[in-house]
Amino acid sequence: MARIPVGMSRRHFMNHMAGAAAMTVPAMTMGHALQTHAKDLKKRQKSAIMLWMGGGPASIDIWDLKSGAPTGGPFKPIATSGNAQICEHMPLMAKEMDKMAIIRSMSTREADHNRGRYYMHTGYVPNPNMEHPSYGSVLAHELIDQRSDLQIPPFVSVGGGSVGPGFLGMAWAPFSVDSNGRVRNLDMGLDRTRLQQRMNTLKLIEQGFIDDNRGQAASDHQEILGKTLNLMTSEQMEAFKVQQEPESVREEYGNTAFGRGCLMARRLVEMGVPFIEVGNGGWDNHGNIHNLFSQTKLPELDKGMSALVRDLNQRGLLDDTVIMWMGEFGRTPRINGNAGRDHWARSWSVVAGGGGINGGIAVGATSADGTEVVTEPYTSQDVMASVCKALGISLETTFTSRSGRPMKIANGGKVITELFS
Amino acid sequence: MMLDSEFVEKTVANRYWAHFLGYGFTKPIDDLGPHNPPSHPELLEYLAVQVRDSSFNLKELITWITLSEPYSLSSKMNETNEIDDPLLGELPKFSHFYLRHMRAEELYESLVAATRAQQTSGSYEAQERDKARWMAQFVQAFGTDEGEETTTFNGTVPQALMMFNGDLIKKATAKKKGGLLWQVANSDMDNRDRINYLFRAAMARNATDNEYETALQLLVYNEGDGMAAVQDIWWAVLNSNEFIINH
Repeated sequence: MARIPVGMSRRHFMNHMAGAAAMTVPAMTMGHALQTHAKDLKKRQKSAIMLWMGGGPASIDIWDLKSGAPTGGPFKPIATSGNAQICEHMPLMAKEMDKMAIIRSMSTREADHNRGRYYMHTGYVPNPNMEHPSYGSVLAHELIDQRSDLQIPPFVSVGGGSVGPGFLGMAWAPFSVDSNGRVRNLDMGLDRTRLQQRMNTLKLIEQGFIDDNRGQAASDHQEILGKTLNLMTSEQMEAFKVQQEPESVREEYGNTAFGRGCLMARRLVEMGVPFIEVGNGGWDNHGNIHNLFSQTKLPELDKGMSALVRDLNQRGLLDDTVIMWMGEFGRTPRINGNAGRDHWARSWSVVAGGGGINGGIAVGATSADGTEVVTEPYTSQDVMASVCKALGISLETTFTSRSGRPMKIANGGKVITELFS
Repeated sequence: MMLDSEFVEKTVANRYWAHFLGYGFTKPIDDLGPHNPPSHPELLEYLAVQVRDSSFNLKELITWITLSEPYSLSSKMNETNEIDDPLLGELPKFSHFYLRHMRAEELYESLVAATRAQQTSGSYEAQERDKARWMAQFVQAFGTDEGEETTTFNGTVPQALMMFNGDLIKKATAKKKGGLLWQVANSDMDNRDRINYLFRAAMARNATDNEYETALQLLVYNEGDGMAAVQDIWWAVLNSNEFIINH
């Protein structure tokens, strides 16, 4: 084994590794209706950011107020820079609403956390026969070809749990970090040549096990090793270090886990990461909802989300970056005995913007008390189809498991036309 | 009232089956009912009846499952069952054993056992505290009032980073005098026996000729520093899919 000169570049090192250890991505096991043409490659890089409100946010108190109705709660609506009104406790976001669309006619069926999380992340209801890949895995898989220089994972989940890659395999799993951007165990403490020696031996043992034909988990592991090595040696890891941002910028986003997560999302988009999910939990408000909203939940959300929209826009990134805001479901229009709201999937709102989505509008409507959708109802599939359109991904894209079971991207959802007309 | 429900025994049978085989008869395993039909209804029904008849004797249930044919099958596939891979979106048919990543606690205990890493670190309580602290790094909350959480210990990058560079692995590959590696490096075994010893300790098999050759190169590379070579081999063995994936 040749010695490697001290001070070699990372790229050199990786090339060498690729030759010596062949830590390359094995042939795709998935059939894939290829839609990638030269013209797509010339387009600018597209990214998506999902702001995930774990617990099921009461959209009736944020984006679709029913002030005056018995279900309305104490909050008043305020005017925004767009055509739709939002909650008075979202004043910063009100200035950015010309860039965002509210979809007020969401109507779904899953009002259990687990099932709702799965459904809103995949466009499919849980099914014992199939583990569907989540948004992040699917979109990262579709957008990765645009960025051959990306060394860090294409699907990053900040500050919370996400949904996994399903049958796409663990190589497309979310890479989870906390909102401080700390990544544990990055340093081996040995020189790189020694690391390479270890990897060579490891690779050999792995291959023997894979050659025994034991299924995807064995080869997935080898692919993960390659990605791990990338992380340990890549300068792109800087993107996680939100504390490198100027004090004024960090202040703009807010000194909260969610604010830092939004700031990290912007840094990751700049680095070329195609999908970032920012987790913001604590929306499962069965009691005392309005005090909590006005004092902490909404000011935090307002600050982080508005800073993200404004910052991406000022940097010219918003045209190529889709932002979506959602949770498992909405919450009951009826206010319960504990001054809270319970799980409710039948009529609620999500928010989307960027990537050419029309800003400043509210799509669809609910009844005067918020208990019914009175226009065409939309589903998780429809939101996903619309996001795919904004990202330039064909809705004909189909994944096929090795045994031939097809899975259509966005599960046959229809593009929500008002978002693009 | 709850005890009268048929789903009590079904849930027990389903959970234990999933614990040993890696997959249950339903997904998720805690969601049973007419809305979520099981993959093998007759088998689940049979196990459930047996569980109740044995007055919920879990030891018996474990015995039945671990003596069953599906549990004893090899994880190697052949041309007749290549499509039976639940990771590829197939319904588990249990025609071979499915590779299963060790759970966090299992891997921790395996590392401790395979390397005697904790041998000298104090009382049982102190060891349990170490373990709990180690496991906490993989927990992720979903932000709901029900306190749901998930784990990043699922065969992805954070787990690989831990296995590459974490404290536990550093401890396991340390040169500590009297430790496993020190003993191997300072024994009067020849190189072949040293390498085989390490392979057997972790994977219960000898090194293949290829593996032996590569391991020997490590010795050459480390310029005769037997201890460093043994460290590198041990590191590679502990990181291999064969060690960390239950097969």
